[in-house]
Amino acid sequence: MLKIRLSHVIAAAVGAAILLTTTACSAQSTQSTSKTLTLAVGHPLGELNPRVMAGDFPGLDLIFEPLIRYGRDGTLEPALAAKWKVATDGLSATFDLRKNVVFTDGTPFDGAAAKWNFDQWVGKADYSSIGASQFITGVNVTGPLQVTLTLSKPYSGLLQELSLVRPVRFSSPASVDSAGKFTGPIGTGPYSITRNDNQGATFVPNKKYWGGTPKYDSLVWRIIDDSGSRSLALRAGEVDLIGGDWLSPISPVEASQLAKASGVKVVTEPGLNTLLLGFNATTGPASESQVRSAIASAIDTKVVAKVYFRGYAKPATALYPPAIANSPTDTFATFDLAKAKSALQAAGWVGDKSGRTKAGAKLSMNLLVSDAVLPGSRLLSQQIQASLQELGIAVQIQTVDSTTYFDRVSRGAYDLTFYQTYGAPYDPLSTLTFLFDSAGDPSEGRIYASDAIDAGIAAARVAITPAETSAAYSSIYAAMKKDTAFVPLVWPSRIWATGAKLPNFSLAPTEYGLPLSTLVGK
Amino acid sequence: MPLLRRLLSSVGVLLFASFLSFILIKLAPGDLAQSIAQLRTGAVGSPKLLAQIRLEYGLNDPFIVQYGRWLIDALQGNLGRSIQTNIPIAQDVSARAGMTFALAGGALLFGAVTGIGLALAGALRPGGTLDRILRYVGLFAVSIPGFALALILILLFALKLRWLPVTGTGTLSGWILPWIALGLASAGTIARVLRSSLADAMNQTFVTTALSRGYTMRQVVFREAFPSVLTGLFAVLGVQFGQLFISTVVIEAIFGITGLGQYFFHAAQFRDLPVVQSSLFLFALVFVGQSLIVDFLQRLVDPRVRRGSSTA
Repeated sequence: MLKIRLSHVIAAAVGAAILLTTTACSAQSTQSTSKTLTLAVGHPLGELNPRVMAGDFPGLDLIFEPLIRYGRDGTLEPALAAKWKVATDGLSATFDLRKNVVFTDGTPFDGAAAKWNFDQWVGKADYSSIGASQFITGVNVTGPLQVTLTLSKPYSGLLQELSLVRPVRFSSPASVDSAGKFTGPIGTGPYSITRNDNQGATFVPNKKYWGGTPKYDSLVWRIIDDSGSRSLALRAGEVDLIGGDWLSPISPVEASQLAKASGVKVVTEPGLNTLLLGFNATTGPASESQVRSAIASAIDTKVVAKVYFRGYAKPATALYPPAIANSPTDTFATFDLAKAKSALQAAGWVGDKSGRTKAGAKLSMNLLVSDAVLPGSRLLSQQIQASLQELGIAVQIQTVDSTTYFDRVSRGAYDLTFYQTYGAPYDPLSTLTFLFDSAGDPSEGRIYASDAIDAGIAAARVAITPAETSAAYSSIYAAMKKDTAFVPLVWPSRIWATGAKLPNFSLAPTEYGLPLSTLVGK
Repeated sequence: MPLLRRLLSSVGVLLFASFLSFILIKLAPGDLAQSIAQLRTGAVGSPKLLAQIRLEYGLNDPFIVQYGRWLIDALQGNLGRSIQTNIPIAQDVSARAGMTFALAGGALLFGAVTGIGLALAGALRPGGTLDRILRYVGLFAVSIPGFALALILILLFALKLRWLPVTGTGTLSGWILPWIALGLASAGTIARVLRSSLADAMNQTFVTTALSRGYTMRQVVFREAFPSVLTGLFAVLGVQFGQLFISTVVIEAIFGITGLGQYFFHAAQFRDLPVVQSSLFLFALVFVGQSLIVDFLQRLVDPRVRRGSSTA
């Protein structure tokens, strides 16, 4: 009797083992062939509907194309629009659409299809963060392959915003059902998607692509959550490409390890974002411009770039890096501890390294940090704390989750915190609109606001000629520098890494897409 | 009847757990509507959009109404949609559950086979060299954190020797390292608990009687001592499964396994509250489920449990 029971237990165990093995083997195999490129991605791609602000950027970029593509150094290049013309008064823009372009479902891309796409987002509340959505008042089909936009006011950000990924890209009008519900991603891009699940995705070539011949029979996206594991998978040859802010970020520490590994190439380019230290200039010690100026002179950004970014960053000298259009040419304060100390002394904060006081109040500040919002910022906050300690400023680091971070920055409930500019293709206008303009929505915080900056942003927004645009931006940057509105810290590098299959990989113009030169042949 | 009572009490526990998790989610700092707006639009939550979201998600309704609506939907298999991806949660959960159960189940199987094997091998020669070595092996297995073991295994077997892949569950070979990394600690725990129970059993009079009647040590261990500790073993296995299920979060991340652990972890990180709510409920379901299965198995093998006696 006992023997039978024991054998039951053993049989159950063996059965479970077989069941598990079957489950394991039933999952889809992702064996590579010479025409397959395997990418590691850090997260599921989500719903690839260009109108939903949740889908993965590089995935959407492969399927859906813009009228205008953002090129290197901010040059705007023709994509689905062969050419365009903005009226001299800035109140209309006409786009001649490219001939012989069809969506992957066979629907032609013409004026009617273009208008249908604009109508999905122009003037809608969900897209109020896109300036063009508010400025465009009419979308008219002015020819079989021509569409004209009319605007309530000139808007200098119009053409650049038309290069964004969400929500402006073009999908087939047949990609929604009669009730307006999205049925699947159908675009004009070089690849279309055949699988999108929690294991990853598979893209196949769009044989009707107008812009050349896709080079790969399939692009396999494998989801690997942990960035360290993605690096290991690249080293083991299981994936061919990792990197990018939106695909599978590589930390500077991982990049320095990968650079030493055999068979792996780390490819970097100067960054398009700026990491900066923001002040609460309304209340607290940082409301004094001399305190802000002292802090700006007390932080050695060269050390930040070298130690905390392992050299994968450049010390920032202004709001935007040079690759951003209309970026500043003038630079902020450089590291000078003696100057910082005398600035504090002059402001009435007396004392030394052990602490400073004014009218009995101690010079003390909190530094709000969220690693979920800015990975690595908690570690960096310790460097800032140590630098300000040298000055006699006591800094309390407050680490919070992302929701608490946004809640507090939106209320200005901090003394110091880190911010990051949006980068290409959003800047220069988006960071100014959302993080500086005092009339804007404060949900992501307000780095600094002043009448001069507000006036400059208003002028930049409606500027028509290059001279007007340049003058408007210069006035903004000058006002920021005069007030020490923030401390530009570093321009983190764009970091990607490839395996042996991609020896001549070069980065796309922005982090929001994959390089077409790698994926499409002429 | 006792089984029915046990089932009913499990349902009560589940209801209580779901209610508690709903309260905790509501008490979490920050505005849910603002989180949804930020995830949906990329940044901005204008007052108009926030009002629209509150209406859409029924956030203006009284708490109990919101809970009731969630519960009725959940019972019908509708867990809502992820804020981050806009994909139905039930769809994501069903697609990922197989991975997590395969990981935790395989690790438990590895842990059980290894742990029971080590304990029995030690019990055959109590105090012998093998027994002493196995005790240290068990201690090592319990002591080393799963993530550290995972990295050591990857460096050795995937990068150095190239025998097994770093990631990928498409083939059986892709599962071997995750099962070992997750299951080794369980093997150690099972080995230590079972070895100790077997040592106690070996001091019982029925064992002495069996030995005096001329049974060999092997016969005594397998026929007398081991069956007597099965009830306790099932309890340990049940607890281990619950722990393994929770621990999949780290191992899934390291080996690139797209299971429930990572799904829930990211949801918590980005305040995808509908997913967090569902995940808490599912974890409660797994724990209640494993407790029921252990009860059932114990009743099956031990008549004392069936009779409701507490004697082990």
